[in-house]
Amino acid sequence: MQFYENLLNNLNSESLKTILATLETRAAGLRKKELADAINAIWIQAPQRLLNILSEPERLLLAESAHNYSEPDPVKLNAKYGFSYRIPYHTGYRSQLLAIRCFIYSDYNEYFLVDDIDERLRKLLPEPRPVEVAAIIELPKEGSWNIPTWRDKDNRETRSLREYKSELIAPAELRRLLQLTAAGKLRVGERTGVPSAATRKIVSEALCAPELELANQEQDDPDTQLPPEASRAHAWPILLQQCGWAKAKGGKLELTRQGKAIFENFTFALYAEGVKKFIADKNFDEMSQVSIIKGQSGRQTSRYRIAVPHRRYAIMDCIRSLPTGEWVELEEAYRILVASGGNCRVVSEGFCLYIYSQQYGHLGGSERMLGRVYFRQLAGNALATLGLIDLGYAAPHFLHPELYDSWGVDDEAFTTAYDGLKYIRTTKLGRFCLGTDASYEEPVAECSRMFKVLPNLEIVVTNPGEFSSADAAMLERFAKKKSDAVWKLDNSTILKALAAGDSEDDIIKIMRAGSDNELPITVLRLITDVASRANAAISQEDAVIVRFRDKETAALVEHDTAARKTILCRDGAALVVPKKSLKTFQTAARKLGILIS
Amino acid sequence: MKDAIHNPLIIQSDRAILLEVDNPRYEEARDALAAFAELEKSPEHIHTYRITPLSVWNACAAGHGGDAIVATLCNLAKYPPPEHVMTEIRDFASRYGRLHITRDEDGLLLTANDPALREEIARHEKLRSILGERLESGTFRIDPVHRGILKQALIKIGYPAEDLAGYCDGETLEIILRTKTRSGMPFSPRHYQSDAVDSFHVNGTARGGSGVIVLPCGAGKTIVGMTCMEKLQMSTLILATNVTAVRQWIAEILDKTSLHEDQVGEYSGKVKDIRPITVSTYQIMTYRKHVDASFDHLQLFDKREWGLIIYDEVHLLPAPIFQITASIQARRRLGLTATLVREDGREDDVFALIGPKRYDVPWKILEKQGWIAKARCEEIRVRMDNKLRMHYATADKRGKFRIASENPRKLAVARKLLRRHQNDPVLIIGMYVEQLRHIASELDIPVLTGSTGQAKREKLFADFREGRVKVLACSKIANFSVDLPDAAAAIQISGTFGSRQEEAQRLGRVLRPKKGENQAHFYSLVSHETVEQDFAMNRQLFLCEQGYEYHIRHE
Repeated sequence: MQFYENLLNNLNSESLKTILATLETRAAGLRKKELADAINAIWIQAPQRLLNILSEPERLLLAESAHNYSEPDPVKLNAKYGFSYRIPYHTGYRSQLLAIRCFIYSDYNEYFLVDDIDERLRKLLPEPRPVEVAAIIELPKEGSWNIPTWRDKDNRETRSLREYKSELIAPAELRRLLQLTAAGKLRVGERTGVPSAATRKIVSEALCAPELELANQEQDDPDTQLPPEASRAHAWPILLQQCGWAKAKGGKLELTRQGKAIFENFTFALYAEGVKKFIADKNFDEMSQVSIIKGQSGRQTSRYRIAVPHRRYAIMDCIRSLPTGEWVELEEAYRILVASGGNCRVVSEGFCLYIYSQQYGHLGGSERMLGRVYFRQLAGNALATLGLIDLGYAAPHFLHPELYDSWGVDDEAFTTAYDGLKYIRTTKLGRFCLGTDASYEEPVAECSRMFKVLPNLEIVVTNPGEFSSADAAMLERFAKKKSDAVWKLDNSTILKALAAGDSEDDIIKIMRAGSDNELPITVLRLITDVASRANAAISQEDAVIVRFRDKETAALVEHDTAARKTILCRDGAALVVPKKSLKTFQTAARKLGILIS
Repeated sequence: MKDAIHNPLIIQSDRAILLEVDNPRYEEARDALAAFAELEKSPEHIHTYRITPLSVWNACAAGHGGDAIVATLCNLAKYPPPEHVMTEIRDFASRYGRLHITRDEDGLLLTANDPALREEIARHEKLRSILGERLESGTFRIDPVHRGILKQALIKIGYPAEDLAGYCDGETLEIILRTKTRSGMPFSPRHYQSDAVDSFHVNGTARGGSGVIVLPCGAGKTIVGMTCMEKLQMSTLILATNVTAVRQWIAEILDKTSLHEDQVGEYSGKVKDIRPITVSTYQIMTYRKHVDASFDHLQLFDKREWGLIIYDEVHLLPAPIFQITASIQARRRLGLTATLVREDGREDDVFALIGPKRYDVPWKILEKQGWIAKARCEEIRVRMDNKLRMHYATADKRGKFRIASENPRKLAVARKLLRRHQNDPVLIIGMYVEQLRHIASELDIPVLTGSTGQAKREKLFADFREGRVKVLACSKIANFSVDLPDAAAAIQISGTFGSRQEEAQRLGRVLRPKKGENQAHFYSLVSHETVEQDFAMNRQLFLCEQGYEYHIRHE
């Protein structure tokens, strides 16, 4: 639609008159065509006059649209500049100035720039500044939340913030999870892919760092207990499947080809491949873990659901644009997402989802808020588990940062277990996996020099004041606690770490990172000795034992030219045959007249 | 506590104290801790001390109070010490000295100033039968025979008695330390040896006269014993670990004191010679014909009026000696040891019956001052050839150890090491005599085993000492008290590696001060990837915890 055509079709005479009055220009007559001619003439001869009567948000809306070659988006505009601007209806009140409507028109609730003006607008309006991110270097000790009540709309609550650094933990945990998968120890629902309680227990024992401290310290109320889904022990088995490293078979997770590749030779390139698969995964919707929101599996919802990969891509674009190594408030991150034109809404129509009651508690109109809930859930659960972001968080109880005014939330302790998630920080691993950085080198754990490693195999914490439970958990991966500040390495603890998937290098790296002194030769030698012996078995395969009536028959078969090639060894009347050679062995035995079923 | 974070101590709730060696206040802290805590291990970087009731009582016996200990800890701690540890220290300290054993004209008295404590011990099941008549002043009469048993029983219930009852004077004997030894070398006790003697003697008062002196291997404990003898001028019974050690004591006494051969006797399996100075072994003292027979040789304790009894290597004191010691509490007693740690955990009996620790000097100080050699321990892993590996793989547990120990490739490594130390006196120590003989014949060196006659043994020692023999192969007999002054290196080709103190003794063979860099070497040859390597791990831990530099390398 052309500029002039838009004036004639989408604005009424009253609106045109108001525009001309504001421009202090008289038209040739009072007919609509004459009014439109007058405005068109101004646009052709002195376009700046017409732009000058627009408000600041309107000029920026046009500038954003023209310079970015996109359609006008007031939501994006408001997110970027902090306005609360709405495009006026083209049939506005008589006194309302609808000058912006000269440049844009709407169709089915969407806005479009008229066709013949964008080039002129690019010349007339300055290029808008890029989206600016508010970030901080240090995580604040406390975070503040607004928890409005019916009495007090500005009721603020302050909570201490905890930090979860994921970058070093995630790859180490993945190795352990792959080890468990290879050993066939992880059981998941055949259809759902969700881990069983027993599996969660196994995984939680293999984690390299404690779970997030989300539990409510002050209340013992069982209603405030966190769901098991709010844990890395739950997230990892699902992520293994999402990243394409494992798949469920017969109720058990099995390594896929990619899983075997990364298990046998861990590289961060393979890790990034897995993350890419995770983003594109269609089978799991993290929103399903937000159990307070009902109706997610309803038929109606499937019509309005926005594809999960679409949401993840939007969030990943946002994460990518955040500065590395700096903390950004989750709210700010969401603002960046919207200001960049992203959209992580879960459903296009919120009416299909509800809290408690479909009638009273429907979430129609809360679509954006639901998107924020999804962002929160994805960040706290999957992205932190994968080591793409670090978290600055508090306990989630009674915050309801998104749906605080929704019907029914008052009866719930939290919307998601990550309601207390206040800050996120993109890691270098995150930037690499999301393609921002071309290469990645695993950082040395930046834990301050907290302990000394002694030649008698003891690790002594010399800085107990700053030694956290996460640091303790890290040491417990390969050493045993002896007293308040002393851990001890021995064969069995190192073997346990190796069995759980840690490599010799991992153990040495962690100790070097935290140790105040050079690792003594005795310690290095112990680790290499144990690792060398642990790796003495290079492969394993299935075999069958075939027992014969007597050892003479066994010897007869053993010495048969064809059968001999397939036999591993003989013990009396029994022959051991690798499973892969069983058919050949059976054929050879049949030729000797012996049937082996 | 402003700059407390820079302090060197971390006090743990299990009463272990971690001391940072690199801290500027390390030496101050080490000297302070020596008074009231036992050094458990001293690897590089961090030393671990432990506070026990005994360590606190030892401190109290040396004149330190509970409050002073707590104040010292608070002053040196990096973080506020656990409150319960401070309370326990005060509690332990308050228990010492509440009971005194004294003497009046009628005999011995046990005095308790606290009426409640008096009642408690009066009613205690074990003490009831030991305590004698209860006097009006609230004290108890004690039979002198029960003096030791009473002290033992009191320490078991947590109230050590301070023994101020004094000692009977033994036979007088003039003993003068020579300024020049018989062999013509100038001689005088080192300053720490004199300090140790003064701590033991306490100017001849009843507060001294019994106790234990802890000095590292090679620091000259024999000389401390002789200086004590000179101080007291009394006949002395010396108990050592074996005959070789007995002869060594006799040789040292004759070499460094004015005593003559006829004044010094040996009481052993072969010779039963009781003289004013008699040196015997724990073995002969505890010998009996069969399990139910009595210990006949314990009569030696009563054969003379001994003024002093010296217990060499007191950490090895056998149970029957404890029993007899309990009955001779009126005699002065001196325990000598490199470590108070006993494999059987009877440290409290040593405290009760021999006496409190009187002197303890960290070996690092002696090393720094050049009184003992710096030791470098090296574990050399020797591969086994494939044939032997297979033999090893199929052997039983005992067989495995023997095959690993006797790995023939150790010979070549020993040869290389000998080349490295071609000008130094070197000991080759082994557990298996056959292996030792084989190596000795291959290397053309003399071998010393348990079956070597005493005369030949002494000749070999003399030859070794005087440099006529450079390398000597020794079986386990080299573990204890064999004084080989100039062994610069020891090569352990096989060993049991079981006991901590056995390891210390072996190392002690090379710790005597050396000319030049004062550096001793201790090599252990271990078959790679065998049980020997696992045993070596224990040795490694022990030596590291003793603070020795430890290296591992492959052949």
